[in-house]
Amino acid sequence: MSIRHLAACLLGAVLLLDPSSGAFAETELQPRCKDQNPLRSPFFGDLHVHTQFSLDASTQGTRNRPADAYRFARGEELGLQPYDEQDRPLRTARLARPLDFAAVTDHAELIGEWNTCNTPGLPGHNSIVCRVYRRWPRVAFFWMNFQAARAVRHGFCGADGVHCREAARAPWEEIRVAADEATDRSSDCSFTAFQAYEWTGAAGAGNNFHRNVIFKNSTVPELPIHFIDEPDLYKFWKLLREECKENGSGCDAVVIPHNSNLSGGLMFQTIHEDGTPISFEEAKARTEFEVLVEIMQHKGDSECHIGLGSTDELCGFEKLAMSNFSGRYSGRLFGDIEAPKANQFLRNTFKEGLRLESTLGVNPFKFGIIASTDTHLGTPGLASEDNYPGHGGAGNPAADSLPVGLPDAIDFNPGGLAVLWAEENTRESLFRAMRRREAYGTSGPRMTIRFFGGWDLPPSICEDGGFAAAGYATGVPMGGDLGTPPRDATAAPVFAISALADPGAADSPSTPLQRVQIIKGWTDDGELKEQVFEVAGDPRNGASVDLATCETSGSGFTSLCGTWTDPEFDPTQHAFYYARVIENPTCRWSQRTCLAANVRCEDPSTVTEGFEACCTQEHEPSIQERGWTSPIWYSPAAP
Amino acid sequence: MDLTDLVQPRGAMRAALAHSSLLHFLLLGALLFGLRIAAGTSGAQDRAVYVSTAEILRLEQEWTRASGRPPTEREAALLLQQHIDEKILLEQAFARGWNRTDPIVRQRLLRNLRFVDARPDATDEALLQEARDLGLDRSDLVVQRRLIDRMRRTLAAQVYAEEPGEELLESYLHENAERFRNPARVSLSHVFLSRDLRGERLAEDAEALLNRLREEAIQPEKVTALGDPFLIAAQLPLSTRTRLRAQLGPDFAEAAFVAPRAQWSGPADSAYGAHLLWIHDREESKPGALSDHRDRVRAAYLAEQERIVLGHAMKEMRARVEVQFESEEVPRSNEK
Repeated sequence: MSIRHLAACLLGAVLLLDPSSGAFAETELQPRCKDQNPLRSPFFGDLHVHTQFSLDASTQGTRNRPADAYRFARGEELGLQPYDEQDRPLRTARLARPLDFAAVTDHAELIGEWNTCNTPGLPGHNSIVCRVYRRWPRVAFFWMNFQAARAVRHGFCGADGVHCREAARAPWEEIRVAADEATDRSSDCSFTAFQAYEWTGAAGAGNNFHRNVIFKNSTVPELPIHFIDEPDLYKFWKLLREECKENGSGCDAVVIPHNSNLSGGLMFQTIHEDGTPISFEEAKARTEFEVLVEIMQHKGDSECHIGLGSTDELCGFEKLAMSNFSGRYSGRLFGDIEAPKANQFLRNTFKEGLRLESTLGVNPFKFGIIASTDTHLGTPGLASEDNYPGHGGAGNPAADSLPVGLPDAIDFNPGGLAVLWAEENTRESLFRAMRRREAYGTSGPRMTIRFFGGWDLPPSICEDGGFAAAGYATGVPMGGDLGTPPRDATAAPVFAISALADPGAADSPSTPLQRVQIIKGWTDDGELKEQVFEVAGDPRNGASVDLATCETSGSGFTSLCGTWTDPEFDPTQHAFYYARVIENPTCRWSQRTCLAANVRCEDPSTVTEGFEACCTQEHEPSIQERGWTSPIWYSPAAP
Repeated sequence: MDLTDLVQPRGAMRAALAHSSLLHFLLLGALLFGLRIAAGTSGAQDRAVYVSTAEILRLEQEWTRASGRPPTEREAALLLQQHIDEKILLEQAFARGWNRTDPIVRQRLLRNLRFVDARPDATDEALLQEARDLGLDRSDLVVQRRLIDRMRRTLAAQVYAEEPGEELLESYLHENAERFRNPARVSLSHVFLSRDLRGERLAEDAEALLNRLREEAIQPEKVTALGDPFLIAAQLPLSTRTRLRAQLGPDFAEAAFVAPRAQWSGPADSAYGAHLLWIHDREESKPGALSDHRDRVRAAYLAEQERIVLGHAMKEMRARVEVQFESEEVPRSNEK
């Protein structure tokens, strides 16, 4: 029996016995997808998508509803408004490569706050609607969350269907139905959709507090738990636990915070407003649902910031100048934009988590990493820098004309993608991957990244073949915990990373990889430290991009594989390790648009109206796209 | 018996009511019917729609800001028509009194007013009246969206009144077979040679290895030791074109689908290098069966019906409702 077969059997056994999966009803362990893979495959998706239901989506009458967003994600063509007399769209958009999964995460405003019907003192609590709802909840359920089809079977519609003509299908029900219908339950397993929404909390003046709630299946609370006027994360988690996890219905969810870069430092607080530190219970409460974080999306990157805990020059990627939403929209008016703070960036948050683990006994910031787009067009996965139609924009002009201005604020970007390592493309399998954090994010390209850590990883794992099998057999994957070191005093964890460049698509060639790094964060006698280690590739390969043409040149790697042992491992120090994969430089979307408009910064006469931002100091015309894996954590054993 | 009694019945009736489903349904019907009368039903006078020049300019500005260029004449005309359609729907919603009764609208207005108006003892009704007096039910974007959305749903609701029968779904599936095909699949083994490692020698090495595989009749299960280390497995299960394109790029995917079975062929190209292929099994693309795609077919069918019904309803309303423009010079769609 080869090592691969042995490893596959071991993995199968581990999956069955894995304590972290004990909470799931093990209904689908038997393979049913044609391309089921016990060593897991990478599935690419978008977990942050807005459609017509979100108020801040295009106010131009976009008609794309959740079902349309899922069609787009599956690779179908999507119409974009305006529509002509025959109701045909004037423009269309289409993904070059379909996604494997997606979740529409609309804001809850239009879905309605039916919870107020159950909460005395809240507005609307005594309205006639709520009184009926409380007195006869079953009747009200039919009335308010009405599905005409069911009603017909109960003979409910009345003689001429008059009752069914009332507002059928509340939006939350429509969201559920869209996700259910888009999910492929045949053995093709071509696509999975999750019911979800965005909880839009804010603290103070425009500090972002938002998180996306992704449900495991279609057993969900009657209505999404909505943000009430005071931000109260603890109450939100408690309600989610009561209305979902603990009601024995099979409901489960993960909550994914995003845009800590715009949170004014309030996203991952470790002290209360009155200066008291958070308690063990409070830290523990977060860990129940917040197992992933969205590291990058349309509104910038939140990994790290030069000068705020990091000297890593690659941290200059997709940074915004301000620290919160109001800084963005009013700061310029009043000239006092608040600069970003260290605790807005995830590398520092991860370090802070280590500190809390050593002082409190629990790490509330133990997040796996994904990225997504935050599209407001209803177009999940449109993360390419090429032909970026803009955030609220609607595709390229029908007529052949030069662009008349940038389609988006220049410091925003098309967003990234979420990648999950799972046995098959089903809700069960993907959700388990989310919960065990076997996930990574990319800034848009579809690179494949495997990352393992362990005490006994074979040093020749890159050469032997069977990388994944050996990794699972001798270590833990991204998102895992290293566990107790062997008794050997000189033992240090070994990490292995293997990455493939984006294989390319018909209309976009693959960009080679430049290098692979491992970033370590650790506690050292109360101090928090970080260091970036080069593991494979060549930072000085001289690869570049010609900004006048966007042609790339220089060597790179189509794949990279490397192992690394922590040279200064100290078993008494808490630590995390995550991998970052960097592509060669390419043109940013903004530079492509500026060039398409014939802007040449050396000649001011070419800088036409709407393109001034192309030539400012702040504009970064080239970028290095990248992927970030979930960390692997180490905690010293309790004394 | 007035509405309040319907909501909170007195005395002994209470127990009986609580347990009778039939009574629940009857009550609900009466309640709905009652509310409809109170609210003012369809058939109410169709109010005219007024479009100001400022609105039209704003439409064009928003478009320009969002897409980086001004709309063409045709686009502008269609944007305007869309805008007018929404205003027509909004008026219809107001005519039905939904600005007063819709629960989501009420929630929204109350929340806004409670934020602005600090009187804790103000009743909901008093605040809602204040909101209406301030015209917030007209100007608030969430309210507008909700009312327009609800109008559309109401107009399209008849589509959902009856579950579409099997024949309808089968015929829809048949007419749109391409969307619901089960894709072709192929399972294969491949030997990988790395472009990074071999550079210029890649083509030569690939040919040499192909010859060796053929001459020595090496079986596909035994190839893991040959070729260069690669993250993607040497044995690929039954995979669609889409899946192979996603893993190894379009060139590899195309080659895999035309390569001959049960023999070594290639090399097929990918971004990573050259691959020698052994095809195990093929599955031809075939029309999807309703049993496999029922949910999606039903959803697509109903969505199409909704579009048709809504289209008719809008056309009919446009013919009935008068549209007044602030300025005669403003371009407008020829469609009425």
